[in-house]
Amino acid sequence: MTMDDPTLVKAIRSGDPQATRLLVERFHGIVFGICYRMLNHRQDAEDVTQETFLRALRAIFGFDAARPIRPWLLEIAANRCRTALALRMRRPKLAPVSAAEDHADPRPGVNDPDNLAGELEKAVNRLRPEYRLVFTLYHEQNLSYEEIAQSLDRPVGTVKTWLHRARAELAEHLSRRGVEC
Amino acid sequence: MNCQDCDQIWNQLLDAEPLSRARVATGLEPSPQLLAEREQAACTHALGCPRCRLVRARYETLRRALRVWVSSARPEMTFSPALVERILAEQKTGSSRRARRWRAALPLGAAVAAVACLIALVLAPLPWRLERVSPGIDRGRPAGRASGSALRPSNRQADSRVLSEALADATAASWDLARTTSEPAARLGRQVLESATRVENPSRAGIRRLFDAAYLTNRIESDSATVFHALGLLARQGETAGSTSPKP
Repeated sequence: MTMDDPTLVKAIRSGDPQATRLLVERFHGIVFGICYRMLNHRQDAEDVTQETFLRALRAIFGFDAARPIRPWLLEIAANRCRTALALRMRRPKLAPVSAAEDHADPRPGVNDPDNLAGELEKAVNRLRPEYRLVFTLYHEQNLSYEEIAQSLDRPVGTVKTWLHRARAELAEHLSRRGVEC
Repeated sequence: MNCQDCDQIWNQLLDAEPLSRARVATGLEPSPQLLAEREQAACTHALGCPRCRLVRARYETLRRALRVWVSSARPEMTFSPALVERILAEQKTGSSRRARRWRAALPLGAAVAAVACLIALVLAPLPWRLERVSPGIDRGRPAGRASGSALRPSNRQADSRVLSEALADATAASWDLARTTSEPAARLGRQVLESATRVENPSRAGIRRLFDAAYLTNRIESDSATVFHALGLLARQGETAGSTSPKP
């Protein structure tokens, strides 16, 4: 079933259960992806994804139907993730992260494509949440600078700066790990 | 080209990753050909610049890693279909739970509102529950005393005594004022009556006496204007009568 954003919002407001299902099915991938990237924990990401959709469905009557839905959902998801991260910071930490992870990987064949993706994955997970979010939204979810700025409620210039810094940190991290091409 | 330009070119190259993105087609990104030209210029600069050579090596590694990373499937990122059902079920139960919560909270809210109204009715300083206090009572007292004394029962007797005294003073003053103003008026009235009974046609001397009497009663200034008008009329009649009638 194809339905544009304003029609979808109107249908949800009228109480159509199929429209609600369509909203969740259309956007669950990107919302869950962002939550997973931000939280690095599958269960937490699922909980925050669920909370994001429930909040969006509750607030759908106050939503401006002329706006696109995706940045609005991502904005809610980003806020929920920040709250979840803040709650996580208050919890007592179980063990300190090993500093040995930063050293060069002695395994042979690190230039293997699979390992290259794995190394980048590790490096992405070590980024600050804002940098990680911007990097993921841009390179993984294919959002433009403007869409990211709208989702995060930040100026485009800030988004560009965060993305450039994220790349510089990733390049630095890969170099420190001895990953070369 | 300087080192800053070189960094900018590398950010543009990474902005375009992966190259198959739809952004290139929409014109948001430079064309691949233009990017290739810029990359060539950055590489030429890096040959003579050790710093940019290092930057180029790092960003080249990142670009390759990014291409692999974007295209690789990550099973942990796959969304569980059960979660969609969970969200929809939670949305239904959540809305019915909210409605139930509202229904449960409604009688409680009404009871709380009723109790609050009752307390307000008992404690509120309603107008008919306040004593009427004469402004004269508070003369010479500091401000705010009147309302305070009205609310304190221990001061009520003292206040009522002061009120009685003030009332007695006001009564005495009213009597004094009435006596002071009525005595000259009565004397003037008597003189007018005497003059009227003594002579039928008032003579000039009689009118003069009335004027003198009126001047003596200058304490009743408000009424004297009317009296003088009346006496002036009599005087004019007396002069007219004096000129026509024979002198006694």
